Amino acid sequence: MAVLAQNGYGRSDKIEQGFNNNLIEGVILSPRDERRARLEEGIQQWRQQYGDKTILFDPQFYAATLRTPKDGYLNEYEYYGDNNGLSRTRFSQTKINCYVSQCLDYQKSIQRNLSYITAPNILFDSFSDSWSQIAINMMIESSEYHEKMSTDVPLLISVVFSETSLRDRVAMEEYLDALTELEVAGFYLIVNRTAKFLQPAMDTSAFANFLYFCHVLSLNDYKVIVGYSDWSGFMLEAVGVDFTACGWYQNLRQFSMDRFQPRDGSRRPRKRYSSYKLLYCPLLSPELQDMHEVGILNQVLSGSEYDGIIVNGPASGGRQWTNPVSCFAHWFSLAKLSEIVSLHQQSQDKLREAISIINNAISLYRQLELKGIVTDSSHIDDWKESINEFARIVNWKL
Amino acid sequence: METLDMKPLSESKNIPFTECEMAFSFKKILGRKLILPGIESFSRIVEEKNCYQGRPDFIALSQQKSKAKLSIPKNLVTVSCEILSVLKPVSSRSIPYLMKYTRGSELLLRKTLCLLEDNNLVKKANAETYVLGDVFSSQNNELTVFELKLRGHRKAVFQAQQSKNYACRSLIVVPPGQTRCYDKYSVLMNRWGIGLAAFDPVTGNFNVVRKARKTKPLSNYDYMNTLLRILCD
Repeated sequence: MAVLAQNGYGRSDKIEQGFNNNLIEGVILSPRDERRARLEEGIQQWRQQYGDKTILFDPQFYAATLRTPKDGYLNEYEYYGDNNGLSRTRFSQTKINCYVSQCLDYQKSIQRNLSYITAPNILFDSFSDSWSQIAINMMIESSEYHEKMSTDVPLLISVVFSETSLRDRVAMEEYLDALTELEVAGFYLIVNRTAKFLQPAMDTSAFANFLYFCHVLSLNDYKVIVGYSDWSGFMLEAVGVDFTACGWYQNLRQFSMDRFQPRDGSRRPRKRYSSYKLLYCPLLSPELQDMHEVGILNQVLSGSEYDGIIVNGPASGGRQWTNPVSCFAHWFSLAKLSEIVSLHQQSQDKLREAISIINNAISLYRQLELKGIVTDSSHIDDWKESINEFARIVNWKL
Repeated sequence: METLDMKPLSESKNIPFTECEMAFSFKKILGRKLILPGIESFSRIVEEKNCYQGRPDFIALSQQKSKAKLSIPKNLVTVSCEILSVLKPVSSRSIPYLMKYTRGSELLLRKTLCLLEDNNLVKKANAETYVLGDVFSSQNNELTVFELKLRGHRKAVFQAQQSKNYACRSLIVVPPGQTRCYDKYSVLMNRWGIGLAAFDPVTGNFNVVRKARKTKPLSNYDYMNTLLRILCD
């Protein structure tokens, strides 16, 4: 199991429950969403209670380049509070040294409870634009500063890039060459998605290239952790990613810088069920209720302890299907997929298993269609296409 | 009648009226007797003025014996709905049972039960057990929803499906020329018992093309929640 909780607003006791029920392997913390004192207290408690779990701190420095960000509690952290609203001209080498040292020094102060120290970084939209070069400079500075620090806690480099940047494979490969020069333990990757609403699949060639990006880093013996990965986690794990992460709300499942922008309120999301067999979250009503009506519900249920709430009618169980239950059921599904893929040792076998999971989902969607239930399954075809494209790039026969 | 503040004006090329105008005319005919087979008339009609919550355009409550307005404070509506969705008309439920199946403390449950008793929504079966009050008997409190749509057929069916969580009948109401567009959803509509009617706001003609099948609401909680909202309005 390689699923981490992507922490965010409204944590309550979800992390503890996730650990206790063996649904998650660790947590990636979000300083934007928690008061500093509460976050540090949480880290300490988890380390004491769940000693071997992976605990990461995402510095979220990428929000520092926004003009009027909705940055929550980030201002309580000096490395961010002293340095936000940064334009391109505010990234001279001296300034970069300052940003990096402040951020790493803060994490050093809580290092005994962290599994990794995570370097700060900024978002870029292309592997060949000036922001991507600033990002490289920050990575190099982080690596050098970490070497000088007297700490045994390994360093992870954050790389935050847009989905569109992944379309340019030539520029991506050149960038990978630069990354693989770094003497660090690994990378924490975040893809800024183009879609403003939750959309499981990326652009097919972008996702194929992202699989390749992760695979190359993994081949170079780096730890690779992908944040906000949601359903794509099992495919990423198949190409060598060590941990993937997913949270409870939509903005913790798919990353977008919109999360850091002021916006109008929206209505409460409709309740959904996470089915690892469908690789999708159908609405409790009417989608899952419809499956219940035609007698096909058992075939789509994931088999978690939470299924009992809806097994006699998803609509009638809606009241008990609370946000925490929905989150645990989702983690269960992601952990299940991770477990299936990790049964294999070789990457090619893992990827074959991932394709088999996708093919099973396709045949389940066909059965639903035959029963007159139509749900959107286009993401499944997109994933399959991306995997095939990735296999062509690395010359694997699947 | 005052102007309606509900949906943006339709920009239809073929339909000579807007969804707003259609709703305005439809509200008048909802007051008539025997608009739907098997229903004498509706005692209360709630019109949704804000469409962003995914609620239907009209929710109608069938004739009930008591027309008294209920008085339940807003902060107790949720726990009241939880209690009412767990209670049965005949088989009584104890306070420990209610504590197990709702999320209220004993104190909160006792306080709410007193309030519900005052409103005749629950009654004591014996000293410490409760059943649903006389106000609740399914034949007197049926909810029927009407989803008015000029276009967006898939959305209309989806919303009608969702309203089956709390409604006994769900009916999509469209302009006369639009009913054929729903042929491709006939299997789905049949499975869910969703009805279809044609309504011409110019002539006032209302014809049921496909009868809405009466079913038990899928979610007891959602039913109680909607019903209380209407009865407290």
